[in-house]
Amino acid sequence: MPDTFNRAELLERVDHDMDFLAETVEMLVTDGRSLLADARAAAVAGDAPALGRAAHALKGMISNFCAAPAQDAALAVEKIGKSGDLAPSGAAIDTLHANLESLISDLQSFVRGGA
Amino acid sequence: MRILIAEDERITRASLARHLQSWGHTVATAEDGDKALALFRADPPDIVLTDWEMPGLSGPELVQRIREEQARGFVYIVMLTGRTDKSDVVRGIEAGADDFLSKPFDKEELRVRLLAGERIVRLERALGLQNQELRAAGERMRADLRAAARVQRAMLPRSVIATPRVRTEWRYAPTDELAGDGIGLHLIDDRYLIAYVFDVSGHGVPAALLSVSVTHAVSPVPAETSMVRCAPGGSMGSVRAPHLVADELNRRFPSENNDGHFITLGLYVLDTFTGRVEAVRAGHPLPFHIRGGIPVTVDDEGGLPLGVCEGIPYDLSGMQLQPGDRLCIVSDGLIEQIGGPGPSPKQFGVDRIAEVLARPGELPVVGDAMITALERWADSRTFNDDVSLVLIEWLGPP
Repeated sequence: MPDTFNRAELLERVDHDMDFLAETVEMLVTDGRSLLADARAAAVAGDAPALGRAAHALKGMISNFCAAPAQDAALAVEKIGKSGDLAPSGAAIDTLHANLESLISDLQSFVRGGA
Repeated sequence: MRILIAEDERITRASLARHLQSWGHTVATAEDGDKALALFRADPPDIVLTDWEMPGLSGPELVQRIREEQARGFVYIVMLTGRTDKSDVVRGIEAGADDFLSKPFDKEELRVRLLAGERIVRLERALGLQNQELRAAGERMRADLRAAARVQRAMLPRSVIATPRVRTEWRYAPTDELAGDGIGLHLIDDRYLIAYVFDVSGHGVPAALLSVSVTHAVSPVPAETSMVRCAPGGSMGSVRAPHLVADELNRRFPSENNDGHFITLGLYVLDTFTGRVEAVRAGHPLPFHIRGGIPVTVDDEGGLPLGVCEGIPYDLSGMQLQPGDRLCIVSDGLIEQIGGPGPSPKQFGVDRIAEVLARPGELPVVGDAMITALERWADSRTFNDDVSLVLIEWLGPP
């Protein structure tokens, strides 16, 4: 059983509609990865507000999947963006990346009936 | 309900839309604030659910723009936000949001908050409809009042009377659209001038309706049924003696039948061949009698207003005019108009009226001067009460 998201809470949230869940997971794959790329590009460019905005959007997206670890990782990046001090951003984005990929993988397995 | 979702993040947008549709709502979605505003303008929804941070117009900006377009009707607005700072809540409320919902949203919380919003939307709509009905009813009443005022104006003297023996003038300034005052000037048999001013107590529609009834009652036509006419051969030809007219009016218009409204009347009949005046005064101000620019004392005790005491007889009074004499009948609205210089407003009063009447000039000049003086006294073109004024100048025998 994956600990990247709360399965019962997620099922309740989507009214046990696995087709709809599968659609949203596909959205997370494309939009989530895109937002993560935006965040990394903003960090490289030293654009703290853009980093904060991308992480905030990603956090909102992840929140739909009852995925506390990935959501916390996104919040950490958002805070870095809003603080203006981008020094710890690289490590925080790496952590977020890892959490996001684990979540995507577990969600895909879940909707395929694998977990 | 028709609900517009403004949310740039498409998973939340899809999730919200799915829940709302499953609860029976009709949903439109926009991925940014600008598109949401365009959708709102094209087809205003009942409820708007908006994110806080979006490309283009932000959530608070969208809310503000929607509130600026309130003419499109009431819209209930819920802001979706992960923000919990008090300052953010204050900003959202100031922009015009009705409620907040935290992200990630809880499905049940969303449902009950929308139920609350739906109740408020329905109440607002019902209130709007009631206001529309009230406005329509008010407009109908105003139209009725305007029509009634036209009827009243049609009962005013059509013109002044000017013969080789007598000239008349009148002024009439109702304080509201409908007046309780009435005035009349009629020349009967090319000899007898009937002039009257009456004042129904109170204001508004009841007083105006009674005023119309009294005007009809004292109309000299048709002669066969008129209260102010009689068979030829009386002291004033075919004009009935004024005190008998007052007796009849007192009988016909008891105040208990007219919501407590009573009537004051000054009714004067001038024989334009002799200058003899017969009159009755029922609770009405004394007339002004001017001779050579000087007021002449009028000796007339008068009687009670019409309608207050059943069966009391009214006394006939009389006076003799000399060629060039003027008689002025006024309503109490002219005497009692409040105004004047200084911090303590006073009544216009009989002395000021007499002073204006004593000025040289033809009757129209005097009439205009009286109204001008009253407007200056009141510092307004509208008065506290209806103002009526009838001026008569007897030029002499044939």
